[in-house]
Amino acid sequence: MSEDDKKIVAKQVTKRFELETSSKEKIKNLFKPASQKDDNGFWSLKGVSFEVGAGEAIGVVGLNGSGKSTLLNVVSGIFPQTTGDVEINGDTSIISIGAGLKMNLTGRNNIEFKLLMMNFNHKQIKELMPQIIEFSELGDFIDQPVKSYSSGMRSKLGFSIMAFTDPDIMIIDEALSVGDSTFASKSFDKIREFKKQGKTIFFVSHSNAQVKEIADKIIWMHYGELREFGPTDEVMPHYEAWQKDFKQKSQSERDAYVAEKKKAQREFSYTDAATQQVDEELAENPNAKQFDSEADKESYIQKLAKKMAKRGGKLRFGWINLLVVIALFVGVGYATYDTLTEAHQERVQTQQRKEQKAKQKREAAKKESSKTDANTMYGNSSN
Amino acid sequence: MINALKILWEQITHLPLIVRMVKFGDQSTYKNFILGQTWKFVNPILQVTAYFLMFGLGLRQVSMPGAPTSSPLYYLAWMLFGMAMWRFINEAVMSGSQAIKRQLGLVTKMKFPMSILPSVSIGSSIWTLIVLTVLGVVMLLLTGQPLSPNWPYVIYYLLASFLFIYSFDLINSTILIIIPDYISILRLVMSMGMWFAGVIFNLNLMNNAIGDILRLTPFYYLIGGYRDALFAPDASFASFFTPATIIFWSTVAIFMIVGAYLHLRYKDDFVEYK
Repeated sequence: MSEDDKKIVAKQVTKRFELETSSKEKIKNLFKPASQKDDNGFWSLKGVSFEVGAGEAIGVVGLNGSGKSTLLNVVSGIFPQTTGDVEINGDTSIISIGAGLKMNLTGRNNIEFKLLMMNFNHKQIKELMPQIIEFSELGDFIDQPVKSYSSGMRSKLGFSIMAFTDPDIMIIDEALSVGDSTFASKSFDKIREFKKQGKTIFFVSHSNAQVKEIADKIIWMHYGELREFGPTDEVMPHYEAWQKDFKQKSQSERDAYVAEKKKAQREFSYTDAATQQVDEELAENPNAKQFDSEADKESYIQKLAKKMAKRGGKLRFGWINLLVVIALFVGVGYATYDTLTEAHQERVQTQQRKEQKAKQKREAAKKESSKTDANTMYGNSSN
Repeated sequence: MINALKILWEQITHLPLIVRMVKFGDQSTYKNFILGQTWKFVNPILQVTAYFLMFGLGLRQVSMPGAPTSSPLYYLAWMLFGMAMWRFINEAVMSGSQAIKRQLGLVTKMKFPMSILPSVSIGSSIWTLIVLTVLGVVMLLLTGQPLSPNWPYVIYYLLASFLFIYSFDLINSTILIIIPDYISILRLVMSMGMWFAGVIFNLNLMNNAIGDILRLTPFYYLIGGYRDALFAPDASFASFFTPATIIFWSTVAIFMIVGAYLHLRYKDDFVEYK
C-alpha cells in the first residue's frame, strides 16, 4: 500500500475506561494527580495496530465485550484513544442502531435533522430526501415517530441516511445484523458500490456468513487485543475453529477463561502500554532508540508511562491566562470599590448640604422669630 | 485566550448551521401543542400581564419618581423593556447551559461542534426579546412619550447580551455535565436575578451601598442599558456607565477564558457522562 492509499493507520491504540463509581468518586478522581489513578480502570483496548487502505471492507469480529465497538468509536473520532496514534485520511460517518435518531421526531424529520447536523443545506436536503426514503423501504412509516419503529426499521433508516451522505469511511456497528435478508442484500450491493468508489468500510457483525460475503479483511478482537488481522479466508477459519473449540469446553472452564481475560484488562497499566509501544517501535526500526542497558530502557518506559497517564496533559490553562484572569478580577474589584466609595462620598456630601440648608433655615426662622419678639418686647420706637 | 478565540471563531464559521438548527428547533418544541408556534408570543405576554397587574396597578409606589406622565402604561412600557431583556437572558441561559447535556447522546455519536449548541439556544430565545420589545415600544408611544434618543445603543446592548449569555452558557454547560447539582444553584441565581436586576422595582430608588452594588452588576448593565437606549435616558445609569462597562466586559472576558478552557479540556470526557 502506498502512503496515499492508507486510509486508516492505528499504532498501539489503547482505550481505558473509568469503572462506574458514585458521582462523588468521579469528582474526586478528576482532581487526583495521575499517579494515584490506576486502580479503577478497565482497558477496553490493550494496544491495537493495523493499517487499512482505500476500497477495503474490514469485518470486525470477536466475542461480546472484546472491544469491537470501542475500536470503531476511536477510529471514527467519537472519543479519543488513551494512548497510541490514529491517523485517518478522510471523513468518517458512523451508524449504530438508532445512533442519533431522535425518538420524538418522524423518520422524515430525523433525516432532515441528521443532514442538517452534517452541514447539508436545504437544497441538498430536498434533493436527497426522496432517495433516502426510497432506499429505506419504510414507505408511509417515514412520517411516523421513530419511537414507534422496530429495531430493524431504525437500522434501515440509519443505513439509508448514511448511504447517501457520501462519507469516505463508513463505520457500521452491528446495524446490518437486524435488517432482514432482502435489506441486507440491498445494503451489501451498496457496500460493493462504495468499495468500487474507493471508500473504506468497517463493520461489526456476529453473522459469520455476512462477514464472509462482504469483507476483504478481518480484524479479530479478543478481550482488548488484536488477535489476528488478515484476509478473510485466512482469519475466518481460525476464528471459527476457536469458537468451536471454546464451545466444547465446560461452563466452568469457559467462565474461568473469561474471568482471567477480564482480569488482565483490569490489571493492564500505562507501563504495559508504554512497554508495548517501545517494543513495537524497536521491532519496526531497531535503530530508532538506543538504550545502554535494560535498566536504562526501564526508566525510559517509566517516564513514558507517566507522560501517558497525565490526565489532560494536552491542554493546560497556562500562566498567561491565569495572569489575565487575575488582572481582570483586580480590575473588577477596583472599579467596584472606586465607584462605591465615590457614591458614598456623594451621598455624605448631599446629606451634609441638606443639613446645612436645614440649619440655615432654622437660623433664619429663629432670627425672624427673635426680631418679632424684640418688636413685641420693646414696642414700637415711634410710640 | 487563544482557546476563547478559537471557540468564538467556531461560532462564526458555523453560523449557517446555527441558523438552520434554530429554525428546526422551533418546529419540534411546539409541534404537539394545539396552539403551536403562537405560544412563543403568548407565553411572554401572559407573564408580563401578571406582573403588571400586581406591580403596575396594585402596588403603585414602585413606579418611577419624576415620570412625565402618570399613565400606568408608562410603567408598563418601562417594565416591558426590562422584561424583554430579562426574559431573553433567562431563557437563553437556562436552555443554553443545559443544551450540551441534553444532546450528549447525539453529540457523542457524531462529530459535531458541541460549542455551537448554546448559540442555538440564544437564537431560539430571540423571539421573546423581539415580541416584548415591540410591545414596549407600542405602549410607550401610546403614552405620548417618544423613544429615547439613545436608541442606536440598542445594537451595542444586543451584541453585549449575546456575548455575555454565550460566555456564561459556556462555563455553565461544562460544569453542569460534571456536577449535575449545579442546576439548582443556577436556577436560584436566575430567579433572584429578576428582582436584583431591577426588572420590576426601580433600582434607582435604592440610594445606598446595596443599590450601588446592584447597579454595577452585568445583569443590570444589560437591562438598565436596554431601557436607557429605548425607554428614556437614565441619568443615574449614565453616571455609573464607565465602571459598569469595565465590570461588564471584564466579567465576559473571565467567563470566556475560563469557559473555553473548561469546555476544550473536558470535551472528550463528556462521553463518559452520557
